[in-house]
Amino acid sequence: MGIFAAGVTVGVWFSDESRRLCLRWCRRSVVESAIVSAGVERLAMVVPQSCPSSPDNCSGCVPRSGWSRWGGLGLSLILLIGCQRQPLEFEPDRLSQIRLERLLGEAMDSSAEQVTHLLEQWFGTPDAPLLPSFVSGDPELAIWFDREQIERSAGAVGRGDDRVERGLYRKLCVQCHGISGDGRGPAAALQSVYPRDFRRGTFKYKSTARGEKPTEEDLLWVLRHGLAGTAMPAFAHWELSEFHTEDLIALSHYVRYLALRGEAERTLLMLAGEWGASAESDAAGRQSQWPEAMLAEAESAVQRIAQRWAAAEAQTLVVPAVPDYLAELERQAAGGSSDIAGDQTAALPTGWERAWEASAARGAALFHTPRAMCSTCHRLEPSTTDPPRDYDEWTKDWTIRAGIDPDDRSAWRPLKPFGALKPVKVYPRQLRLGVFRGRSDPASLYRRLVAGIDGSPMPPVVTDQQHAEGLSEQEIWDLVAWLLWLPRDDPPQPSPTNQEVGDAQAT
Amino acid sequence: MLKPRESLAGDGHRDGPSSGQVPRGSRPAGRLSQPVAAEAAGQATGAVAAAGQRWVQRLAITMTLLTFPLIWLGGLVTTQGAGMAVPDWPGTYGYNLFLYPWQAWIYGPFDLLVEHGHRLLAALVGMVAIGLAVVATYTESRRWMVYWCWGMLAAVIAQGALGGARVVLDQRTLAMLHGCTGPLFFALSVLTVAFGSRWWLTASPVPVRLAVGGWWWRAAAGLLLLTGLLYVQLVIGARLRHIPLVTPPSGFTFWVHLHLSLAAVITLWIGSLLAVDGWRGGRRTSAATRPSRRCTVAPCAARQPELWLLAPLVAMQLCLGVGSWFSKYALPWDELTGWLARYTLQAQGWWESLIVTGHQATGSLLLVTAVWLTARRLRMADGCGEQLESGVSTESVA
Repeated sequence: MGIFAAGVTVGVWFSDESRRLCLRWCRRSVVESAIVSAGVERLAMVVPQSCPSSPDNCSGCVPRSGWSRWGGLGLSLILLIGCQRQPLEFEPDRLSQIRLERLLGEAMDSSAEQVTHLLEQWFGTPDAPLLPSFVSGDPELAIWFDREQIERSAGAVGRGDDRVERGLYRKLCVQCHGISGDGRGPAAALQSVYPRDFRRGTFKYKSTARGEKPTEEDLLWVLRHGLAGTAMPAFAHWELSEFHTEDLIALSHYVRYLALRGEAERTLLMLAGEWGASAESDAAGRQSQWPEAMLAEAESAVQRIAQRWAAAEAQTLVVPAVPDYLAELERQAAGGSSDIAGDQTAALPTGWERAWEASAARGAALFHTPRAMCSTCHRLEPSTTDPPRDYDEWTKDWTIRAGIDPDDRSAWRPLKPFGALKPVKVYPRQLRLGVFRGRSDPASLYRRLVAGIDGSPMPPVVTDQQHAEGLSEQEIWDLVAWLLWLPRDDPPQPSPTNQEVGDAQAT
Repeated sequence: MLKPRESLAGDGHRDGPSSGQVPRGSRPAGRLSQPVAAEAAGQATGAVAAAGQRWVQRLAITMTLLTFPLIWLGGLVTTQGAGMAVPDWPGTYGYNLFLYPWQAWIYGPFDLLVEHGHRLLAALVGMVAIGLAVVATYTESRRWMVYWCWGMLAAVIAQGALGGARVVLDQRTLAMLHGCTGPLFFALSVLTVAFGSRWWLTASPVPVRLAVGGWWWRAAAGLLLLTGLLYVQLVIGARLRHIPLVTPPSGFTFWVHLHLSLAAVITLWIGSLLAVDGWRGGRRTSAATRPSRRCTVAPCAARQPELWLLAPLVAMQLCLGVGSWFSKYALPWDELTGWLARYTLQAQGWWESLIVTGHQATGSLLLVTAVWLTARRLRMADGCGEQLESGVSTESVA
């Protein structure tokens, strides 16, 4: 029993309850200095909302004199016996709040509190998710935000008495994406590509136009196939099991739910900032209530976001007919075991091969021209100078747009307690590897060139419909052909004649 | 039929082999000096007792052999997130644990297969522990060993109750505790085997006055420290696997760095132990201080050759550690090669689960190996070893 008790003691030492509770006030001094460094005058916002207003009113869950491990240990034992699991809450978007405060030059503590309150009314908690009535009551929106599927993905991990598995998000996603979908799960900081923050509603790999929401199929593709080279795993084999056929669909609903909630939070904060003093004064008499007009505007704004999700299918980019040689290449890849991109052994019958090679040669020439501007970032050969690198939109959001220099460690480091991860610049893809995250079929690569990659520094190409000097459809296909050719070591030989291409196609 | 131990009381030494197995160079001290009393108690009684004691040892070995796959299965429960695949305890979906339809178990979801299998195997270990305690009560002459066996039963019950509490209360913290105490039970099982092993029974007691401060004492202290470090490392690993969902990234990073740092310390420590052992062995087994060839007890040789078991184990563990990170979070240099760039992790895939669970199980194996080595070193830090310390050859004493 002694050993058992020692085991319990050691375990409780590390228990989540003790750390969570103890950190609140003990971190205060760190947080205060962070706020001062960040240029924000008010300090009240740093106090967790579930904590009393001062350490003097603390109910005793915290060792008050610094890091008193032994006090925490004793407390943990009591917690283990009596307190049970702490209900989880969504983390407020502190970085967005700080950005707005810096832009507006005023603190938004009470507004942020009201936003959190309203969000809880609309979206519930991680254990008991809800949907606003204006979303769940709209049959068109309810298709994309299915309450049943969301509830199945939320909550604690495990099977109920009905043997249906619940808590899928916590089982499979939360370690990286975080309980709020903020991309700041426990393991986020150690990954070279940070996990996606769903709260901006921006997704990289999709078939829709730039700035639009991904379709259901886009989300499912990423879930099924994962993202090569990153910590995002593939779940395709899950669906082979009869017990998991609905799991990925349930998860896609929950991802949309988190994205909608996150965007709603950002929108509400902005509205609160815009309404400013009037909201504050009105709220002074009525706790957590906004003026009717402001509330109506908020509902309308969030509803519009939800409608954009519902309209995603209609925003799918239309791709012109895939050239025959690329279609043949895709057919061969589908027939074999290899992916179309990165397959250095891919070869077509002679006629198709020559057509592909010619197209790739044209693409190679185009690749280096100012019209396409690909080679500005994507260096194909070793170079003495580093390619230009930039931050993604998620990082720019809380740094550059908040007036913080992401290259200045002393500027961003104080924001770490609010969820800031070290800003990391995005590397342009090494195209010779032939590995593209997301789909790599010709049509998807075409879309990626036309729309760029949302949230990343990868811009869309300029088409001839947008500008006289823009790229034509055929030129974009040439670039696609070149991208698929690149993993090969041999450079493409330019230009068979049109007659040769015609003959090849005829054969 | 086994007789109650009371009827055999008084001999106190049915546990050892005949005195002829005591090495010639050893000092004939302690309990091993009294085997004659056992013979006087009657050969028939001695035979029954010896047979019973063999059963104690067999049951201890069985329990240990079953505990290792149980550790594996427990690790797989965590890897697969299957801790709550069965929402009730001690039953399974309302059925008695043993009466749950096997078709629903085998052909059901994988997490249910793993969790229910873990419970069944744990129940089997519990039954073996019951058998061990009962048989020890009737046949084991060492009173402390009887208490120890009952302690093992209490430990397995406590471990089961902890697992049950994890399910009933749905607490990740308890899951972590359960994961930390499992290897402890494994270590205790190994000690149970050690207590009944030939080398334990034939070794003469340690004269602490002479051993403290000597070479073997220092070596034993080194192994004790290693055992402690390994257990702390195991707890940190359990912490990483059961990290609270709201832990900030900096918290997880801290634990990872701590885990890596301690891994480096442990590797260096094991390397030091092996280096010192090799150096001592080379020095002691040469020249005139070479112990007697007739001396078969391990510590008579200055080296502890089984210490080298740690080398492949720690190498494997390091590889599995890197593999675990890769199979969970990928490597940060994905563009280093085409293969790394192209490789897509499979969520809870076969290889991923095997590597991660293997890392956890090998950690337990390292721990029990260290416990075993420590027990051997402590038990046998006497006899010709002391003489070697004092520079007197075993031959001359003999």
